[in-house]
Amino acid sequence: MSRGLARRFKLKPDEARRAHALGAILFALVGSYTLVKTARDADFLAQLPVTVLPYVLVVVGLLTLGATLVFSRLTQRLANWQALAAGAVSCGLSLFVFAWLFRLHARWVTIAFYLWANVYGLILMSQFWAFAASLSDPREARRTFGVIGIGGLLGGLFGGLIAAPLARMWSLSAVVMAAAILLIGTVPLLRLSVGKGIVGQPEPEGDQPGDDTPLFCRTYVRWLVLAALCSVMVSALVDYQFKLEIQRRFSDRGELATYLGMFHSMVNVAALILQLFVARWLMTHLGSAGSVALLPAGLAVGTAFLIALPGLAAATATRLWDQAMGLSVTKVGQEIFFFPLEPGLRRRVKSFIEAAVERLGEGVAGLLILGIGMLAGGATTRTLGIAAAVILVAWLVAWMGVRRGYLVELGRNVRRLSLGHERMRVSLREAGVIQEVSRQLQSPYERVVLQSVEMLEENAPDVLDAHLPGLLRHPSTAVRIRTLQWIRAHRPDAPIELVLPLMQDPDPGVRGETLVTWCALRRVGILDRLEQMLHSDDAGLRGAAIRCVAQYVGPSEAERARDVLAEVLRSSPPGDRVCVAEGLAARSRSDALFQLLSPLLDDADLAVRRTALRSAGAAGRREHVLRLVDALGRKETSSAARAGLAVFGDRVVGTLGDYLSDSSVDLPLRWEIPYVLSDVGTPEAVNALFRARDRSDMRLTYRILKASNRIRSKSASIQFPAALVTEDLERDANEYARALVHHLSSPLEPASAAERLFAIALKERVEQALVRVFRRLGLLYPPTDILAAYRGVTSVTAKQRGNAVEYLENALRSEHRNVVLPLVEAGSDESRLSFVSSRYKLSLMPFADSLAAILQGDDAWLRAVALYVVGTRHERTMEPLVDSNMGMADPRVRDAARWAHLALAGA
Amino acid sequence: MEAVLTLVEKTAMLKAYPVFGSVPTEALAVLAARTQERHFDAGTYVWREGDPNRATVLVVEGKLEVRKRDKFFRIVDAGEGFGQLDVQEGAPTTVSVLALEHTHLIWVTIEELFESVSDNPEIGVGLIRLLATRAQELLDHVLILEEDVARLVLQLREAGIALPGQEQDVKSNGAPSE
Repeated sequence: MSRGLARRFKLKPDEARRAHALGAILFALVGSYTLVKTARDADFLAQLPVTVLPYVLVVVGLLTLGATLVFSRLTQRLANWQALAAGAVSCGLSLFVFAWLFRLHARWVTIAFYLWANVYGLILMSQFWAFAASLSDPREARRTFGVIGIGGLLGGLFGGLIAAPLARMWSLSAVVMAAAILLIGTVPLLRLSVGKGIVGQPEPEGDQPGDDTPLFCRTYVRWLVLAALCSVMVSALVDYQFKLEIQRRFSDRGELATYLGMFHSMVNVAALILQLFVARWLMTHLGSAGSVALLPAGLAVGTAFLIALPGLAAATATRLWDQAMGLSVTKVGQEIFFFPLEPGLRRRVKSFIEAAVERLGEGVAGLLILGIGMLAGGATTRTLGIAAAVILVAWLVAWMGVRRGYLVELGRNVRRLSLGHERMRVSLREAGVIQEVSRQLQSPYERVVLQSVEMLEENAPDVLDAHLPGLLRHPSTAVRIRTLQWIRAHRPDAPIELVLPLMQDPDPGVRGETLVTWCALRRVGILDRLEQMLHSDDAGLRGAAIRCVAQYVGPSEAERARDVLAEVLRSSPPGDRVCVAEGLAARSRSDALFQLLSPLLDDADLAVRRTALRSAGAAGRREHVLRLVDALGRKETSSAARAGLAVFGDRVVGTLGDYLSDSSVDLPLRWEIPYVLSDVGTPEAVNALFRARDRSDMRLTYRILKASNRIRSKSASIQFPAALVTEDLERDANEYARALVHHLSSPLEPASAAERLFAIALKERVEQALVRVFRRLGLLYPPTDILAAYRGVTSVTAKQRGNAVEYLENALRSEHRNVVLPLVEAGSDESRLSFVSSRYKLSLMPFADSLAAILQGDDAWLRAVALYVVGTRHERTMEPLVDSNMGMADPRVRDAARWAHLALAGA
Repeated sequence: MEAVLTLVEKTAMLKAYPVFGSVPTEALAVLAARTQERHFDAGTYVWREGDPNRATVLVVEGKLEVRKRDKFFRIVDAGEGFGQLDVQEGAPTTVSVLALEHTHLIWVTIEELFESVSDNPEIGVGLIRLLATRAQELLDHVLILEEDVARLVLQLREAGIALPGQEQDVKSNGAPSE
């Protein structure tokens, strides 16, 4: 049976062992608790009226809160399994005490037992599931929790079946003693499993991620708490209605025990059927959220019947649904909702919900019952049904919040487990820190002052104003230059008198910088002053003067400045021409001066050309676009041309898109265009990137994709054409499939360097195709989450892989999920091959056939390597294919084909 | 007739070299296309100490001996590479490289190598990893040597043998000075 279960739930061998061990432990725990519940309820209903129950529930709520805190404190330093074992032993011993006390038939024993049973039962169950959850990731949990749950259900069935005969043949004391024995029996089971390593090592205790996170800091946690509270309240109301109807029908202790025993058996049989035959289907087709929603949906129906037709049948059926679903489908689904939280936070939230919120919920339900009783003159089945209906609405709202938050938390979890880190910015918002940094401006040390200037520039630039005179007199040249640059950038209305003294500075660099700053501040009538310096022997001063003329001369002097500079350009060294170009690049308006740019774009000196290309972008004149595009295709000027074109922005995107999608344009130029479009980064740039649909050159295809990713990272609001992205994604998945098939068709142990290289090249193709698939997903889904998911699915750690796959399953739309998930979810190459075979009609083939297919394929590099293999292996039968490759345009293929031809001829 | 490697063969050789182990084969082929092949007879110098540093080499066949100030430094076997990336391109090399037998080399100029690094950052990553590994190995050697030296000094002291500069300590301790 256990092998059948393992096959049915598709468990790996170690998972099956773990699931069976945990299932056995849960069998004992639940079996024991079922006996206890039967005895508890039978004794209570026989001794006391059910109207006492709400008071008991309120006390249970308060008591459990305290007990939870005490239990957590006592077991703080213990591992999960140790806490469970300690709890089982102490509770088992307490049951022996109560079994003896039952002989007294005292009401206080009944009430004490009711309270104790409620308190210990859920703390122990909570501890068990915390232990089970710490051993697995969401993917494994989905597979194993069902099997573990079956163990619990069988335990419940066993407990229910033996409760009635034990109560009839002996007494309720015997039932409680049997429960105690079963409970203590879990300890050796636990010890054995941990000792044999079956249940392995749980997550390390002590400081864990999330230990310091405030419990209710996340909206998701608050929704979980609300959903749990509503669930418990409705369950408590339904339970009260059930007990109300039972007490109306039965009064004898034995009859009560029999009915309750049979009820628990029915619950567990129903739960078993749901678990074995329905749960998996529900989880697959409805997901965790949908499956969990079935419980409140069924309760809503049951509540409607209880309002319309109150009676034992409706009460039993509703309670049966509540219990059966709660033990099977809902339990598994709810456990999965905790997985996205960090381990420390998860443990604390689960403990809080299962031990505090659920008990609190019962207490609140108790108060509600009492309140309804007072207001309506008695809490009847019908009135309680109406109250339950109201709480069900709140439950529905909470469920929707959990469903939304699950995905967000999964993304956060995947990022966390991928160990990515986010950049942290230092903020100087606090006045005290700013004051301290300001004091540093008076330091004699250059680096201290420069660092302080940087920090204040970003966070409190106004503070620098008061220190400018002092900084301009600082002993360090670098500080004086930096200050002049700051004035130019941030204080264009600063008084010229502030900087004039530095015209006589001993350092030529400072003098040059002062000249530039003076021009920036003065703006008018500067040409006369500068003209004299244009022919200075001091290269630094001359360069500064040239830059100033080009950059700062006003519109009224522009034409005269153009003529002056044209004269300078005729006889100046390259350094001066660079200064002209630099000055033009920084010029804020486009006018006659930019006529100087055209000759500079053709300058013999590379540095001049590069600077002129950048300036052409600043000039923004369309007549320069073709020159820029031409320069883009040359290695020595591509970077400068890229900068120049990017400044044009959308005005040049159409032209670039034309070049990109024109296959007659040289590839080196087309390779550079995606960079420019990513710098532009607008929706029009995205359209231009997607116009190029030809995938004959893989390098170009990949650069277009990377450029798209860069745009996506910079601006999340830009939309990408989903249909085209999906089409490309499916094509990449297809290429992944092909590469995988060829890779697996090649020899397991390559016999030569050629075959080794071929196997490596094929494996690279598989990996590259997967990268492209995820990059395309990053265009439609949050890119950081998709990157984290990629790192997760390619990780060697099973937990990271499981979390990543769980995220993808929930985040992706169905058309993407159906393509991507089978590629990453499958645990082995065989499973992936099976998917590839069914979807793409590809299957393993003899190595020779694989080589032949590649020799006729589109991938030039693989062809070249395949030819190398053919030549090394002397595959004479492939001679026609080798010869057909000798005329290929790609030199790698041609070269390899010629070699292979000679190799075959010489063989 | 001297053998000439195809592009794919050169790529295979480069791929087998640890520095380029993580570089995709297709990217490596771009570097391979920029390389040259050279042959050196036994006893000839590939370069001498003081020659301008121009290249890094990968041995296809044969064996090289690296000598520093005319003293043996290391052997470079087939499949291994050697270069002085710490020395500026064109600056004088600090070692001589001698072919011990007829040696067939793949010759990569430093300019081409660094240009390939800018085109394919994975090559740079491979170089960094190799250098980090070498640095760690050297550090391990130094630590071992330090331990050995400390042990020897202790043994010498116990035997009463003075090290230079420590004769006074031994005499004042009453131990024999010889």
